[in-house]
Amino acid sequence: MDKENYFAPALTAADINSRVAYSTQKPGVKFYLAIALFLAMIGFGAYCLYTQITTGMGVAGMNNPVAWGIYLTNFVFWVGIAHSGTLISAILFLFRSRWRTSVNRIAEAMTVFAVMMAGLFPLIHLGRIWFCYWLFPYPNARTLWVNFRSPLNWDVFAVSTYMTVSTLFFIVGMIPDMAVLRDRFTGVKNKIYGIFAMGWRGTHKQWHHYETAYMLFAALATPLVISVHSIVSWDFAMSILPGWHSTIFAPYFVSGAIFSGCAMVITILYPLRKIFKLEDLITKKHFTRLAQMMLLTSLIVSYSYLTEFFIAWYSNNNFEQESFLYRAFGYYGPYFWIMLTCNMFIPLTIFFKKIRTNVKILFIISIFVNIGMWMERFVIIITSLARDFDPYAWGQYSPTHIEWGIFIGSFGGFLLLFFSFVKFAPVVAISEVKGQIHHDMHGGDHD
Amino acid sequence: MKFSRRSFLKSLGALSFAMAPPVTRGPLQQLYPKLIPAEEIIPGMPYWYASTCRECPAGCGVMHKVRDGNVIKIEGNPNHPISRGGLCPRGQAALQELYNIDRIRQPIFIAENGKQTELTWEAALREIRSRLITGRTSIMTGHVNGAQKKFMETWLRTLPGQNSLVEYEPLNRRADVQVNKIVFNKEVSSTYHLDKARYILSIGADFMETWQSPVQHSHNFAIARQLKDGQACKFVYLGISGSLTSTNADESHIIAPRSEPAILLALAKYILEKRSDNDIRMRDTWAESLAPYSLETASQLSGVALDILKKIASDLSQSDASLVLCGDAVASHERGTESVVAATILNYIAGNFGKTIELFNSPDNDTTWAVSDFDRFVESMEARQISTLMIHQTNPIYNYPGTQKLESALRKVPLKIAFATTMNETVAKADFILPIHHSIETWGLDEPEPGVFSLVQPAIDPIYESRAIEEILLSIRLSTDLPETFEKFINDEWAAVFRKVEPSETFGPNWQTMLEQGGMWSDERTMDSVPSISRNLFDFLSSLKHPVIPAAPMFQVKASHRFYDGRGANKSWLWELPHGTDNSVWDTPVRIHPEIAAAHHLKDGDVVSLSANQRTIEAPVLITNNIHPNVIAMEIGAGHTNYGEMAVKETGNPISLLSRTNDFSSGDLVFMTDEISIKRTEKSRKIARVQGSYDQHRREIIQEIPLAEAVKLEANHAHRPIHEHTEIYPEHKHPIYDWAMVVDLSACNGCGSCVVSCYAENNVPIVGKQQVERGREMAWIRIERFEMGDGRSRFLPMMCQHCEHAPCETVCPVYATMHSSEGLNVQVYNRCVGTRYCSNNCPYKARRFNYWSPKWPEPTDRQLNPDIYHRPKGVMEKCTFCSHRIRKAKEDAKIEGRLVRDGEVMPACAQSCPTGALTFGNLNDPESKVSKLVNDYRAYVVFEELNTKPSVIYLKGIKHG
Repeated sequence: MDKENYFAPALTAADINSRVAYSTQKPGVKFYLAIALFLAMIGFGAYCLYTQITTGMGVAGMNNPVAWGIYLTNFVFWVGIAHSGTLISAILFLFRSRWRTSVNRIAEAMTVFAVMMAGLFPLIHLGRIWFCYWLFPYPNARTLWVNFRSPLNWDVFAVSTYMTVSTLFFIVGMIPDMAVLRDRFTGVKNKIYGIFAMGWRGTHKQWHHYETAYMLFAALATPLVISVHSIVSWDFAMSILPGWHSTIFAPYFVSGAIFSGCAMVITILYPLRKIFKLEDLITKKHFTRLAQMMLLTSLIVSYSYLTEFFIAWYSNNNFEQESFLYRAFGYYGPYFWIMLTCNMFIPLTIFFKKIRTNVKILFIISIFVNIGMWMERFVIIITSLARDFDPYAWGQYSPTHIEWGIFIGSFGGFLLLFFSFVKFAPVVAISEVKGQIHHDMHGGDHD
Repeated sequence: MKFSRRSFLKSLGALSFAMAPPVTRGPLQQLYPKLIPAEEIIPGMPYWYASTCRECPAGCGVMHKVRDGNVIKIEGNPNHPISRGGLCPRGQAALQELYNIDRIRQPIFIAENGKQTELTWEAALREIRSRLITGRTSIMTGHVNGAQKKFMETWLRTLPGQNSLVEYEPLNRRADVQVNKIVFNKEVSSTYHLDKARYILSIGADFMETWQSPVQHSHNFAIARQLKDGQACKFVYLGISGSLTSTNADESHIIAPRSEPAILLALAKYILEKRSDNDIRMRDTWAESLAPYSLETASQLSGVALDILKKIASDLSQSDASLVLCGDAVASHERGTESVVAATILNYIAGNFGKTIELFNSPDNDTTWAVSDFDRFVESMEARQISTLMIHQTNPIYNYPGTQKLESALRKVPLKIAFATTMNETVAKADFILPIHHSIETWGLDEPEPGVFSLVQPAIDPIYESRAIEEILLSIRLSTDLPETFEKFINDEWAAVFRKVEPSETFGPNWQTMLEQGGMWSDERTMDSVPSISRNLFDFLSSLKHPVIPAAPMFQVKASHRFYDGRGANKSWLWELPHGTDNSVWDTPVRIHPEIAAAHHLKDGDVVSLSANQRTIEAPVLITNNIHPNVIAMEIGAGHTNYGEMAVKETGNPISLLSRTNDFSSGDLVFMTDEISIKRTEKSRKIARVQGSYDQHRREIIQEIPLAEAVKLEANHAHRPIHEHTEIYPEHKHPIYDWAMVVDLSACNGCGSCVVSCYAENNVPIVGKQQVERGREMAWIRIERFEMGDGRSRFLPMMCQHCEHAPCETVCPVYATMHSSEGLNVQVYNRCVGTRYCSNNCPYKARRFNYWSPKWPEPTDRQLNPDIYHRPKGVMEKCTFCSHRIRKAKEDAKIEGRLVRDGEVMPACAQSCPTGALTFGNLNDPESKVSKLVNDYRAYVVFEELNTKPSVIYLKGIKHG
């Protein structure tokens, strides 16, 4: 059990309240400008989507053989990002990692919003989006049913379950903090925060129920962290395509997801703590912990990359071998090498203490990892499809402005949700931090 | 006033009727244009009308399928003696001429200033009659034969003045007649029996594509290639540039231009010497005439290794039934006649006359005009000797090298009347344009080959206000030697045929039989005895000199497999059908050798400007090894300026570069010119090619078996080795039918008939060049060409394999694709949400996604098959094995209380295949053809290691040693 002190010294409960609530004060012009920018991004994405729905999927770049393009890349990318939240809140909670308290709220928010964005992409990617409800098994007069053998259907359940659980977890976790905010405001704000506080009075009984519920959700969410991305990986692994059809995919994707998730947390935390002056609560040590997590998952991902190539060579399977040679040295070779540099080589620098304790450098590394992980999904999806079994049907794919527009729109949506969250809710779990500080001050560990 | 309940309801009804929103009609409703069908037509029932294809002079028999008053499909007539059931892509695309968006819909008058006025028929005819002046009248037409030719000739004869019927057909069979005149001193034409040959040598004759009668030759060639008594025909091709036919050869060698006579005569000499036993008359004279030729010289001139020529010579001399074909590209260069004469001599000395070639005397030999004669005709127009010119089914402004001269000459003709279905460059020069019936809308009697009286009958009511040309001619002026109506004329003509063919039979009852079978012909045609050689031939031979092999590049214009002489360029199916060898679509690139490319720093797609004879065109280049380094070849097709929306205009018209020098002995158009200069331009455009790689990458998609091994296995009655695989899931059950297709790769020649047939049958949308470039072509069946590593290529038709363990079926989240109880992999368009997972997981990449809403502007929508469900955007589609045809056959069988018979269901692709490479049937029936073929020792499936268990089984090609 780590006994490190993660916070700035001599923080009182009132300090925490005010520091966290700092972000919820009246926004300035810069904030509104940012919101306008995000709305513009969403608007552009929506326009692109509208064009695609009304004229046909042809406005996107997909073709035969590359029938899945960056929509699915984005899907996996956003689902991946959504992983760190639950990991930090649930798994680290169960493991009693004390450093999680400052960052778990932000990570959870990121999870919920990223899943929301992720959930959009399989729909955007549908040829007939207006029939997307057919993917759900609902009773109907024609006794039409869904195909439970299809990994895409598993996806529907995995992602919707994950979204439900992580959203509930997020909302439940905020109850005591919402009560803090409720008590700070009057008027309409008081009413709204009141609703989210769900009548929280901080009684002993309520705390007892709350902690039990939190523990239960953590226990429920933990297997989901593993299952969701395993299932996402099976979208690929369950097919017969060389480059997709591989048993390593589930652990490979799960670690990749945590990798990208931690990177995204760093990317978001760094500016956030600067803007909202949270340096006392979110310290260098938190960043170091996240970096260590990134390093670990990066090593697992790198191992997977090497294993894939080794297996392709060892299998002596013509299709596999050519597929991987193409991945590294073909038309999309540069993307592969970008991916390798970002995901395999750059994170190795975290081994150096100087780097992992330098927040700014970690922020830069995290951006590289974000790019690298997006590239990873792109490389896996596109290169495997571009050259599969029949050389007649080999072809290339490049995304169009419509696809980029929707990608930008999804960033707009994510950032808008996140900014609104920051203005509305406590970005740090007040009650948990308080508990933690109290715990630290009063000599330690229950265990 | 009392407002009763009754009147309230009445007013309510009236009100709601008045306020009902207008109903917008989607494309689906337009599939049924006739709400009240014509009498005797049962809606939903297909009717078949036998007729004759008029897309090229070959004259294949066709069947027009009519549904609810529309012709929706053209298929080959299985009883017809020429085509035997197959049909080429151009023949199928005739429908796109009938339902062309650029069809001329009513008479048009073009004033001096180019202003077009639409007229009624009465006004147009009145105006024409008033402008008719006495003087010479000419009908300038494409190749016509049979009754139509007779009609035109008679009509012109009875008109005052010296009138002429000018047949201008750039790709014709004149050389044949001319050559036989030189060799045998007889005006006879030859028929080639490829099916009887054991060894075929083709010198530039692309008989699978454009030469003479491609469907007939392809069919017969496939028969020759079948393994019989431990033998199968070997095929060697020599030519200056590659083609689909050359790609199909067991050996194909590139020769130097103009070296053909030297090769052929050297071969003749070799055989003359080797076969000292056979009784060739005038052996000494032959020996003397052929003395200057030797295989060594031939090898030197042609650039083909001596060993290769020696092997060809010895194979030829040992074969008991060989056949040497010489034509198209070769026959139409400036020593073309010499080449064909040399080939005829070789055939004669090899003893092929009476065995694989038959000569017959026919009054209706090809009467197309020589270009030299046509030149004189143009001069007579220029000299204002022609007062009335009628233009019909020919487009010399496009495919005659002297366009400017012709344009100027046409301006000197006071009255020009064009009879046309669609606008083209020549028609646009007329004063009056009169819309005529397409051959699907009119009657006729064609005689494509002597003794074959082929019927042309209308399958539908004319879709616009068009008339038959004969009818129009009669209404312009009645003729004393012709009946008053066209109907009576054609009736009389057929009656005459009946009297000639079956004098004992009566006309009446047999008429119906004739209508059903598509004409009259006698199946037995006797071969003439070996003809005697003309004395003059030896003078001709002695005048021949060894040619000068050009050191600078020559430009070769090739007849196109898809557009023929350019007439196919207004049909989207033909543009979207990938080129036979390089898979390019929507363009006609210039083919150049890598040496030329290196000299000019060119890469694929760079646009070059080609200049010759003071004219210049632009075209993108395509670099290929399959061409002589000193040849630049281009196919006819692009460069139309006034040929409708589909024609490709960016690339130039290669014919315009030709000089008007013609073959000195036949007067025919020379399709080569040697003054070509090639210059790089700054432009470059991507050539849209549908195939990703021509290398199989060790994937054994196309498999072959050496002839010797095949002979051994055949003798042992060997069967296909069965590989056992373990299964987790229970197998599908097919209680009654288990449909399967067998594809014989030794028969498939990659002609693309199946592809176009599928487009027509299944309403497969056309996407255009840009979308093909982006990989969105929609063809359900495609021809894959793979290089076999030894310079040869082989073809494989690939469509949905209807796998028993279909990878697509398990991954669809909504069960839009699933397995039927008859072994079909079915796609439920209505259920499809468009995840495209099935396409990703299909190792054959046989699935096609609708990236756009398909569009069929009027009148092309009339061609749509109403049996086929409309696929909107966002939906996956693929080959169904023509499940609607299966359904129809099952309905018929059910009515008669039986099972579907073998051969009763024929998917569109299998029906149209000229070589019979595709066989379809029920595997549950042990007697069916497919049941027997799937156990053949040559049977295999593609990607067997994936254990998808396809229902499409391929038979390995046979590789000749």
